[in-house]
Amino acid sequence: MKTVFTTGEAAKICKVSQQTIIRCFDNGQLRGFRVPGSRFRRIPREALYKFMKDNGIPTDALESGKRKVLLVDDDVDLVELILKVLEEDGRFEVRVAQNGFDAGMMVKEYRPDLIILDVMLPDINGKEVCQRVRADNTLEDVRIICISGMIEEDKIQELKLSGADDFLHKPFDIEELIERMCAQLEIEPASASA
Amino acid sequence: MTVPPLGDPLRSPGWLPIASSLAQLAETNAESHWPSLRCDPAIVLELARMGGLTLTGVQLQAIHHGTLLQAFVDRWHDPELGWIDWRELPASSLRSLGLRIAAYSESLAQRTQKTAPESAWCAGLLAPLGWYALLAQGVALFPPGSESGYDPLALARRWMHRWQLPAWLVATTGYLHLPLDAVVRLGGDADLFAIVQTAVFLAQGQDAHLRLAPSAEFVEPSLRRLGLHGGPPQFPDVVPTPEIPDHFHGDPRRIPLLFDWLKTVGEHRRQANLSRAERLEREADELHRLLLEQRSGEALRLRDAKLNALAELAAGAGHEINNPLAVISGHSQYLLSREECPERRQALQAIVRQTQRIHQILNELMLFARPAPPQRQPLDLHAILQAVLLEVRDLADRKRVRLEVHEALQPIALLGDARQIQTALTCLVRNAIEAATEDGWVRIRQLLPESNHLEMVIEDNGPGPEPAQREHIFDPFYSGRTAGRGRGLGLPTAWRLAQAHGGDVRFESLPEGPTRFVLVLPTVSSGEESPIRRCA
Repeated sequence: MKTVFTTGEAAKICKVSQQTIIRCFDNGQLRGFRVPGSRFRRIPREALYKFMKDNGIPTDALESGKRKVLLVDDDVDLVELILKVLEEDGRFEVRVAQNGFDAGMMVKEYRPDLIILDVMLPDINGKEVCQRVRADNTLEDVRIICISGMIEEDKIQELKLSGADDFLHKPFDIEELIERMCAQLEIEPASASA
Repeated sequence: MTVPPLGDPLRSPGWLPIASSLAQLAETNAESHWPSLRCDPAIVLELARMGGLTLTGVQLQAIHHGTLLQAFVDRWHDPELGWIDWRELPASSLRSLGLRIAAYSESLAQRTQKTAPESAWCAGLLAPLGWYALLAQGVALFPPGSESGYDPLALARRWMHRWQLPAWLVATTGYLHLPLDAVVRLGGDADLFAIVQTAVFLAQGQDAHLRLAPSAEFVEPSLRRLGLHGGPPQFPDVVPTPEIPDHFHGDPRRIPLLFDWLKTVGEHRRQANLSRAERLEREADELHRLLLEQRSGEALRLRDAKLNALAELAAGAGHEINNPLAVISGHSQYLLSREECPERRQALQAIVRQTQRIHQILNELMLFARPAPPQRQPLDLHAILQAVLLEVRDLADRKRVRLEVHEALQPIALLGDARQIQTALTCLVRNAIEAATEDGWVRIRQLLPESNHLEMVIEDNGPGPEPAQREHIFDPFYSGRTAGRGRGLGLPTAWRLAQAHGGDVRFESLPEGPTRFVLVLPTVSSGEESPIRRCA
């Protein structure tokens, strides 16, 4: 389990801006330390927990400490692989939807931080899933990475326009997928367990 | 009846039209005078000689272009060239007979709608051709107190054969005394003959001594042919006959300066004809070009259809193939990450690499079949060249091929999609490196822009494509490719991307020289504002 957080990570967990965390850190409301030899702020897990309790922030996100990922793909073999890899990485909690309808339901209910979305689903098109997520104000922070085997450049552009944050061609480098996920979630690329 | 020997009288080069006809022929719009010109048998005969008289009507080009006039000018001084004084008897009565036959023929053609009225008029006018010919020779047709001994039809036949008039006309005018079926067997046109024969029969009247018409029983089939069983129509005995103006009366050759004038006009017309010939040639060239364009238009459409089909296939296959590839590659990567045995690691790495290769092939296919529209921006050719070199350096090193680059010194204003131009150039350079000999060289030269295009020349010291393959070198659908240069989609892709930019890639065949490909890209024309200059 992650024991120390950056201000960015703490902001994500508390769902406040990084500036707020920095201000609270600097005025002593949120305890922590600076990385020796630098000005980087670090917040121990217990300090963050206390801060959240004190301010009435729900602590479930901190309790698991994992970022929520919704994986949407109908290819069982690929789903199995990504599940295995993300599980081993340890920083992500993953749920799977095998079609667009399930994805729509689960986005509302599970409220993921990130969706890995295959564009060609058996029922509705990934583009539509993107649009629906983007149309919902309460899902503003959800990041979407599309993955697809399609090769038409214009369709990929269309996808980005309909709200995807990133796009990855199949077949892809698994490490690259994790790097892109980290970039979207603003967490450090190297796995904590690695 | 006698037929004179085919000697002198029939060696005749014909006779001159009346002077007023000549004057009309000399005018620029000579053909507009056709309604009066067609009353002059000399004109109609000459037009028939020139092929202007057909069963479906008359063609007045010879009159329009002045060739008909020229024919008379050329024969002007021929002592055998005749002339007919139409105001004197018996010429005047022959003239009115000819015009009557012509008018009746035309009228019958109009009524029966069986043949072209103009053709019927002309054939009818020429019915007394044998008599005209004798008149033109100044032969006394009917010495006082005697009947003429000539056979006008026989004369007409010989005359017309000599002048190589069309068979249908010879049969019509030469066999008026025969029944319809016989004439058809001789090459006559049944309808036209029936019309002219009927017209002659009706028009002859008091001119029976001219012996043009057949006996009534022989006319019967013609009347039946024309559907005139109930008896022939009533025609006026006298048809309007154009007056011959007094001052144009007489032999045209005696009119002072007429010849000089006609000759000048003729020359002028000839000049005009020359330029007309040029114009015709240009028109023919234009037609040829249009034909080619249409042909190549078809080829283009076919090519586009092929490209579209390929794009569809690539898009569909891309999705279907990339998904399993992702699984294969992903699992291999996963295993690789926890594999320590070097041998197995190598195998897994190969699997990952090959899946990437398959993916790349699909991408290239798509890039060729349906490249994205170029995102045109000012291009930095130097940077593009450097990027290309970076991409191909490994390959060149492996093959020990020397790369030489000659860049133009001055910056060149060029708009284009940097990525696509880089891809096109990379394709060409890669192709050159692959074809160059071991320890050989590849040279990339950037020529100074000419008019509105820039050329990048890519040369290598390898053998050029086989002559049979040259025309297919940019065609990805060509299946006759053997090993070596031009395999894969490199050259077609370079060509396609250049085309998308309004440019081209061409192969230049240099005997004994290096193998040369030229990438042509349009530069920013002086009319457009150069974005580069604007930035500078």
